[in-house]
Amino acid sequence: MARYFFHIKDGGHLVRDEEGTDLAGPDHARAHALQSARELCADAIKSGRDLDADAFVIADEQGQSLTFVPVAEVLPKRLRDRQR
Amino acid sequence: MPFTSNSPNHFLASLSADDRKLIAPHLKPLHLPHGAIFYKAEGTIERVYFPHAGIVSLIVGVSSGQFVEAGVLGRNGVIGAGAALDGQVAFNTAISQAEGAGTVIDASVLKRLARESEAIRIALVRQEHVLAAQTQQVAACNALHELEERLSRWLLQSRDLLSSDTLPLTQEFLAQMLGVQRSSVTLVARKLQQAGLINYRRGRIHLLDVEGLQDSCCECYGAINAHFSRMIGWLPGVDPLSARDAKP
Repeated sequence: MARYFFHIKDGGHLVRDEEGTDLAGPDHARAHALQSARELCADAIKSGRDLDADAFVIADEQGQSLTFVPVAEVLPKRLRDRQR
Repeated sequence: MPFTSNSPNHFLASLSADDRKLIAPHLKPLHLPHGAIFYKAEGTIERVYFPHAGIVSLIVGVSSGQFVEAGVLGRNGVIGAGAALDGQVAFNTAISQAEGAGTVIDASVLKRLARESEAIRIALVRQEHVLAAQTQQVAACNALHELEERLSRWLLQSRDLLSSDTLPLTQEFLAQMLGVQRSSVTLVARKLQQAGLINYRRGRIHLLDVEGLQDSCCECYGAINAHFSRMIGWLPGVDPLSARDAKP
């Protein structure tokens, strides 16, 4: 188990995750970010409001950034293709 | 003494002197630390708990390991009241969410006392009834209302039960109670913070603007309070304890 932090990139801001979540490894951390992204997207779509997140920056306990997970990755394929 | 008419627990305080005399000899003090489980879903409820302080969440889990809060009680309620009314098998898990203390009584003893005193029996039925009213409102709220409204409701309910504007809550915990991802709580908490309604510091949430939070929450907060007021005569802010603690 390791502690991963999921900072949220919102435009020029980075909303820092101060608590972190204990997860089994980097794959789990990525899956966790995707699951969170799904919920943020779904809520934004349902409420008709803008999304206040562009991506997750996953960091380890030392504050080292590990991965960047764009929220748009969770969009259904057709919507994602249309964006390009 | 926790057994007097000014018991911090609303149920005990509301009983007549005669009924309190019936119950008092059987009450034992209980300290319930943060995270302690009072009873588990599907388990047998052996004791009935009258909180004096703290928050007890009634949570319902599913097979994936996730769970969501169906209701919350503190000194306004009785934990496991149904066990004294023939409902000894728990259909949720009661877990302490903030350091709490109160008194307990054996469910079998309370059941016997409820047979002896109709007033005790009616008070227990009302207690279960108001809990059902709360869980029904929460079911509607969870299905229909946005996280910002639900989180605001949760913070206000906790404030009422703890009589404090500082709540010892992590975002992880809030996310679990509301059945959402932690990042969703992070973003909503930031929004409330930017609006000047709360201040969040690692594991602690300070409520800065209670009226503002009442505006940002859904009608469910008021509806739940109305149920408690109508059925058992409890309203946050007017019960003796919070009146005593209220700021001028």
